[in-house]
Amino acid sequence: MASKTDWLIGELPALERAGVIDAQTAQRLRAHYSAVASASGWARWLFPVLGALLIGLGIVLLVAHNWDQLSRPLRLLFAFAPMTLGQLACIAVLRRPAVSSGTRDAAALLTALGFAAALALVGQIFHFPGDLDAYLLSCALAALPLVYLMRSAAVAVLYAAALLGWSAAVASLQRHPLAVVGGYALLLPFLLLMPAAWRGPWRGGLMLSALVPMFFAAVMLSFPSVPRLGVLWATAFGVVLVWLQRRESATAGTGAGSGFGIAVPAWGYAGVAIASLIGTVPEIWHGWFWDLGPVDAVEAWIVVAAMLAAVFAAAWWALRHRDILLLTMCVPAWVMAVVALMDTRDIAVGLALGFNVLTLAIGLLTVRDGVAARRLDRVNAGMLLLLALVALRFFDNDWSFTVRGVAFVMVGSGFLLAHAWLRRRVRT
Amino acid sequence: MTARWMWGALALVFALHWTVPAALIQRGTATLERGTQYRFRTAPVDPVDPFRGRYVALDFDAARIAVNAQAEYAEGETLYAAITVGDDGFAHLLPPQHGLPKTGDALKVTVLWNNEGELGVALPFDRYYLDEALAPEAEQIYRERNRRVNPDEADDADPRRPAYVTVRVLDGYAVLEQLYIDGMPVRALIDSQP
Repeated sequence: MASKTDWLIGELPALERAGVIDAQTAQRLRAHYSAVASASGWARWLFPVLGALLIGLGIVLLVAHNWDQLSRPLRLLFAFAPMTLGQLACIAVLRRPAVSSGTRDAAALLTALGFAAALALVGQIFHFPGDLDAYLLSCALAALPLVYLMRSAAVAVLYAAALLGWSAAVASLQRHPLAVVGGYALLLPFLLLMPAAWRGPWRGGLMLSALVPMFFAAVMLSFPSVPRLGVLWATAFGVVLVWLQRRESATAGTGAGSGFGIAVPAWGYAGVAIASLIGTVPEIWHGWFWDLGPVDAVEAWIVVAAMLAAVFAAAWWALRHRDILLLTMCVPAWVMAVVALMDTRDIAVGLALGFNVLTLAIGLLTVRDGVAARRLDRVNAGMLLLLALVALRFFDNDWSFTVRGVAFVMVGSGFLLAHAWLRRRVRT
Repeated sequence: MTARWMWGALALVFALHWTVPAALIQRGTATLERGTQYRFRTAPVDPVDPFRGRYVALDFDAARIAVNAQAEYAEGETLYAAITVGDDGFAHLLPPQHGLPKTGDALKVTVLWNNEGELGVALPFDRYYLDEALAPEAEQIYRERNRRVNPDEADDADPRRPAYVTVRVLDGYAVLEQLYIDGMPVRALIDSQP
């Protein structure tokens, strides 16, 4: 379909020159077939991938039913059937170079899920113990080569999801943050080095939108259960995401069409905003002092230290490019790192006040940044942060209901007026 | 990547996909065919595994080992516990050690807790998979039989007497063979119900 559309659009100038169609008709045809090609691109990817995913998960469920009335050899034969089908599909797909990315993804997904079903069925037949972590890690490692050999973004997401599950399921004493980071790093060549055509612009953005939160959560789950470590990780990782997007936007001249899309920097803003808001509550600094120093959690600290080094790089870039918003967003990570190992009970109120100022500054600068870039989504993000800050303060103070009520109405009206004013000046 | 390399790599990956489950099947089958059989007392309950389906989770007497109160065991440590058979015909475990014992069979166990003289360990078998409709039924039958066998016992009394599993052990590797309730294989017991 796409090749026929391309041919037709390519023929239009010649048809126009020959007087077969006029310029307006040519323009209408161009607009019509561009929309069809764009829609069919999505559909051509989505339907086969969803189909393969549903079939694969259905097979896992059929396996889970446990057909124990069948003989063991017959069940073992069934165990390998879905994987064999997937492998044959992969071979068939690779023998046809012009095949769509959706078909490639579907074949690769079917193989990866077929392997998962085979392993599950063998475990069921021989009554292997729980070991969900080992099972998910095995499935992830089996899926990884398919990402590269089949150029499959869908299997990359499946691999990342299996790693996230592994990180969540593994026993607390066997958690290794460096292994989690290493596992996700195995996807970097696919993301950074392989030709962009392998992924396609929107598939790349979609994949990153899924991979980034999975990586964030998997690393967080691999940490020891120390709240401050998690908050520090969230804010540092958030800053790095925002930096990468702003760096790319500065290079490309615009954020639109960048490989990071909208979701990735949104995760970054959310990480910094939530961590900063948590810092505004004095109780956090009263109770959350460390009970695990670097000696007790070496790997977690190495990961956090690496991310803090990246925050320094982000700050240096922000200074050079006079990016005040990014520079301000770096500050919560630094403050949290400085006080990380301190008993902060005596300075809790001061810290909370400082974080109030920081959060207010980040909110206002985000609004200003949105206005300057004529981006209403950024303006709204900044206003949302300010609103959250105001709401938190009203809820945790001893002011009367009347005072809080009037203040809410006034601030809310201010937001509405500001929004109406901004809508006239910036695009959505 | 050239086509030849790509096809070679793909063949290698597909071979690995077959090798992993095939190796598990080979080891499991060899253990069931040539391993020594032991009986372990247990109590079944019925949970669910999202990938492998419904099973009866097994709680074993043998998972609590009497050890020297001064002995130190690290939580999460993997050790080998030699198997001994008691006068009642059921298997028990001796205090675990590093490496396989020179004689006799042993199980690979993971230390869960150490409470001054008693060591809690995870055994290399902890579940018996059943058809999704039969697993809850098995638990129900177990509870009924247990009440019938011990009518005079209090509700919170140890209910482990009527259930046990047979396990085959070969070179430190164990595979669960069958779950028995009241002396009958669980599937046969369920089939015999009116």
